[in-house]
Amino acid sequence: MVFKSQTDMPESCPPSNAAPNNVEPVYRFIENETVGEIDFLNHKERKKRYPSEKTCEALAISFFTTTRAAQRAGRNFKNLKGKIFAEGKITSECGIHNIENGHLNLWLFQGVDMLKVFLGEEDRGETN
Amino acid sequence: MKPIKYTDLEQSEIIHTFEYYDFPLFFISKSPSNGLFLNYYVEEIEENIDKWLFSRITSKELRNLVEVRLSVLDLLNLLFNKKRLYHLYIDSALNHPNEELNLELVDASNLDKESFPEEDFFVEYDYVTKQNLVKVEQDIIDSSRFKMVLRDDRNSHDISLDLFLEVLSNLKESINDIAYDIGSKLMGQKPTHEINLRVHSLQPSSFGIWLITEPMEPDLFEVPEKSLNNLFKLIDDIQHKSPIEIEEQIDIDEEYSIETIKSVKNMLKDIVDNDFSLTLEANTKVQMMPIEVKFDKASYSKLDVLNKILKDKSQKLTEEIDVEGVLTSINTSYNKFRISTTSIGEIGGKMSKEIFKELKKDNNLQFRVPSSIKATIKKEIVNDYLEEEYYEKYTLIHFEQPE
Repeated sequence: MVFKSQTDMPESCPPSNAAPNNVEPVYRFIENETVGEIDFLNHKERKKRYPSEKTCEALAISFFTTTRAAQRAGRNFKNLKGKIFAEGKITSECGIHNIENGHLNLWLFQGVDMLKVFLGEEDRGETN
Repeated sequence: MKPIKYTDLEQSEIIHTFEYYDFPLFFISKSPSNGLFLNYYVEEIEENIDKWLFSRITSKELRNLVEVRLSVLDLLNLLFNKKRLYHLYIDSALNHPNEELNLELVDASNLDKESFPEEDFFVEYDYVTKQNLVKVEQDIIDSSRFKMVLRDDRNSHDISLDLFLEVLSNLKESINDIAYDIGSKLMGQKPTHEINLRVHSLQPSSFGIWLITEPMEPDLFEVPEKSLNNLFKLIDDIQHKSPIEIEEQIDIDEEYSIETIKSVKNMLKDIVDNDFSLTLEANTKVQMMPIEVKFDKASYSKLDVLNKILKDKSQKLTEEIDVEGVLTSINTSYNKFRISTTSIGEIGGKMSKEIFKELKKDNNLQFRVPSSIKATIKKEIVNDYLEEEYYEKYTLIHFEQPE
């Protein structure tokens, strides 16, 4: 599979422990009241600075796998305080990920509509 | 804090990441010169400009954080109260690596409480080492009884009384200087009781003695225990840590004062000068685990670390000041003067070589005493911690007296 950020990926990216799996529920902080495409941009797509050795991580998007982990982040950091975290899912078709301490890093495959995957709308599309 | 450039950030290494969401939100970086920095994300304040809380921290503070003894909010509050916490603004659009970053000290006028965590928390996980972080209890030393062993090359059972008394006296001074540092930090004042030492019993084989600290009553703040603990720690640090790690405990987290470094240096210098080794042995208070620190031939060169610190902290300030007042005494034989000034009180000193020479060969140069005087004085302030010289010196370099 080709990754969405394939051309920017350094060697050994994604890491060898990343795998494609269905994970539900996952939680993602959202910018507005409802989930939008903007909520699935990675650090590089948001044009943020990052150390060069952290390029691989900057190409992933984060989710929490427990509400405790999401609430903890929401309490501790001003950029997340007051933001809603939405519940959704990731699938083995949308990318590969690893999970550490309630935090999931996802490297998206090319052409994936993450908004639909997260909201489960892709499943509905297939069954219809 | 020294100015920071983008290249400095690029060259820094992230050694711990405690919180992560799309990017490290809370991490510790290490500069190429081994300085440790706390980075705590606040928010994007405008497009491409991110605001962080940023501070130099010490290896001891980091250890307390990682070993879950120091909470995040307590650490941020400590850094803020000690005026060590900064706002760091990072412009992602900027492409000049040598451009200095915008750093501002966080104080009451710009403190944004929202930038601190809503509730206190401890770090739980390190995304760099991929380890869960669990509390490591620190069992301090039982100060009620500890052993000092002084050993020469021949492992003698006897020792020069002068050396013995000198080492004991310096040991007591070191413990009390550390107690003073702890008291100032913990209670904002020096401890109410001096820590005394009592010799408990002598033992054969080398020259070892058991010592007891006084007062023996339990101390609410455990100052005697903590003092002895820090002495053991400092001796161990001298043997194993880099000068920067020792210096930061003086400069940054104020664990040790310059007085403490001086008294410990004096104690260890006695050991070096007499070709001895020093071993301190004790047990921990709760788990009764044996602790031993040693300063022996292999560590002699480490005394230079303390000497360098003392030398670096020493100051010699020289300035020329103009004073007005009354010349109250002059001694042309012994080259002494005294002026009662209107600005800095009574001062006394010597005439400059030039004036003194002039005075000797030219009878026209005269002083009127007591009489008003306008003078230029060279003022020297010397605080030499290494040579233990502390003085203020005044030299008269020019004067005018009304006819």
